Amino acid sequence: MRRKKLFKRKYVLSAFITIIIFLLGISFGMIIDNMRIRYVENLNAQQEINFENLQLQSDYIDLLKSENSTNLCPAYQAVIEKAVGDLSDSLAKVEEYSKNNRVNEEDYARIQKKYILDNIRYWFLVRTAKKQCPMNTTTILYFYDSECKICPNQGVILSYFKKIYGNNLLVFPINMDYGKDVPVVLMIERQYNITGYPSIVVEDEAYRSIVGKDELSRILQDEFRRKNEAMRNGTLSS
Amino acid sequence: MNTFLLILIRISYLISIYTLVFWFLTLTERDIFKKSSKRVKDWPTVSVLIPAYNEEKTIKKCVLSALNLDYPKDKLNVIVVNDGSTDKTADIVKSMMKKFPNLKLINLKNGGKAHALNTALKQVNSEFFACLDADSFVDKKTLKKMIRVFKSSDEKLAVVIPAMKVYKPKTILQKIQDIEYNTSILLNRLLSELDSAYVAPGPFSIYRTEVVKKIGGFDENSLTEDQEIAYRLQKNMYHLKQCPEAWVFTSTPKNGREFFKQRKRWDRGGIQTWWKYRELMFNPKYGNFGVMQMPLIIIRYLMGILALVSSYFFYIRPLIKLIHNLNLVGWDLRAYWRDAFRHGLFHNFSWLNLNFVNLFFIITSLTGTLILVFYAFKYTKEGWKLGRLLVLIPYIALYYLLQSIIVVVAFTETILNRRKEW
Repeated sequence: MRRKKLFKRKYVLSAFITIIIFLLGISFGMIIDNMRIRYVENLNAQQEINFENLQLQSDYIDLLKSENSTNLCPAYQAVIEKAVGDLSDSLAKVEEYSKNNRVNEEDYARIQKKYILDNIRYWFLVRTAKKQCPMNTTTILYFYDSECKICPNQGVILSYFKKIYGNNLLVFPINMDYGKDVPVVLMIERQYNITGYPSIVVEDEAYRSIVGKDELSRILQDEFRRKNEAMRNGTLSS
Repeated sequence: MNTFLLILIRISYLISIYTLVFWFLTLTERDIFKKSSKRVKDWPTVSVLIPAYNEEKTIKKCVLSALNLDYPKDKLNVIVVNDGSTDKTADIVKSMMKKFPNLKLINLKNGGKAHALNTALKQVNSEFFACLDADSFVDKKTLKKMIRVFKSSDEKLAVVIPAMKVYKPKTILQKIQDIEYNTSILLNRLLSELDSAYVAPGPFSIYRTEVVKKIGGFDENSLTEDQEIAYRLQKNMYHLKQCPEAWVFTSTPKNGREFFKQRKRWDRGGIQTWWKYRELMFNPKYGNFGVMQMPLIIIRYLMGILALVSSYFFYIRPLIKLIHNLNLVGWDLRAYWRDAFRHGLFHNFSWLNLNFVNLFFIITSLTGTLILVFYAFKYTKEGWKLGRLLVLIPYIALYYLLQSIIVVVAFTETILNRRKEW
């Protein structure tokens, strides 16, 4: 029986070259993944330095407790705003990496917990700073988890207001997928009676369901009006 | 994205790279571009069959191109099969018959291209016959070049395929098809070398008359008789070969509607034919055609479906999410513009954020494709102008997606029709 030609050698050679190209791609990806982890670790280390610096500035202002100390406030406020901005940017990067499974799950969980603690530390610091210096800044603690389907909507609304108010609005996101076993997070939840997600705490007022654009706009406008008045009257806002 | 889909995309990548590597090896291993220099003393008789249905605009040019072929006139005759045209096609041919005694006209009731060809085939006594679509034109020197290929091969060579180019591409869609046709010339050359050609294109494929009559002529039930006959010849252990530089020019669809109609028929016919000859799949008896080409044909269709599903995840879903998010903030774009103005458009961009594995895969397959396209243009002796380079962008970015949509429609229609038949 007549048979047609079959280029067996070429099939094998093509398979060999294809596997080499494929493995090259995978190895390339692994090298970049390692670079990502190192980059995220560097971001973490930078956050540590920023925080220590802020803590020292806060202690210094507290120590002076004099009229002159308020002269230091604008610089201090600028540093806080930048640090919180950096923290939020680096968290966004880590989340973006994880969304595409580009960071190892264990590393990612560790980094997330670290960010929760950093966020809470900054939240404390800003609250303390506001008692020392007049600041036109509003803080929002934002609790969410991955099981909550409408949480991304709250995230979009908060990002929108962050874009409007810039550094005057400091949003501290707390991802409860990783915060459930962090004692300080549980303490804050109990204090504000938070039982479900999304929940936000604007300054000291807790809102236990999604807050839409119009409502949040009103809340923030009231908050900033109150702060402006307090600053005009020379009293420190809390 | 769904892990299953990601795995499918990776597998598609592997198959694409494997095919490209296989083709490049074929390109470099042999002197596949060598033209046949066989001296032919006694040229064989050839009939050119032109099936025509309402082709008054192009029939004269088409028939003249066949009559003016550089070939001994006593060895060449042209038969126009008027397939029930309602326009002036028959009148135009009749008026030409006075001047050209080797031109014949057969008038039929409309019965389709395959029926027209079979009817004409009954009157053909020449050693070879060519089919020429009435919207195509053939270069003067083409016939001799193609007959030389027959003469330098054995009796098992049943069809010689031309190198098809787009006739005067004007619209963007025609210019994109021009790139596709030129690339196809190279691919057909490769397939010919692998003895895996799966279509004998309508515009001027030349057949060995005896073989076609022996296997029963053209299949009148097939949507694409030119694919069906190629598969049947492969099944009967015949060969199909492409002749380098045997230029034929064909008119291509000018707009999306015509293109959609033509490609849907091709795809439906392709699926129908593949299914009919599925027993050839992975069968080493049929050589590279069974082992490589049969799986590749169906994989191409499946990849089209995959491309469409993936486009949902890459384009449509993010777009829906964007619309939803903008709706949440009452379409207040000022906030975003202000932010972009304040911090720069890409302040959140990090190069580390790119998916490097996918990027590597995209770049390698894109580079492979581009090398193939450039190689094809070199082979077809077409130059690269800026306009043509610009057309490469929609060719790569949109054309495959457009074809994927047509594949999905063709697949669905084929399955639905089959169910009806059952």
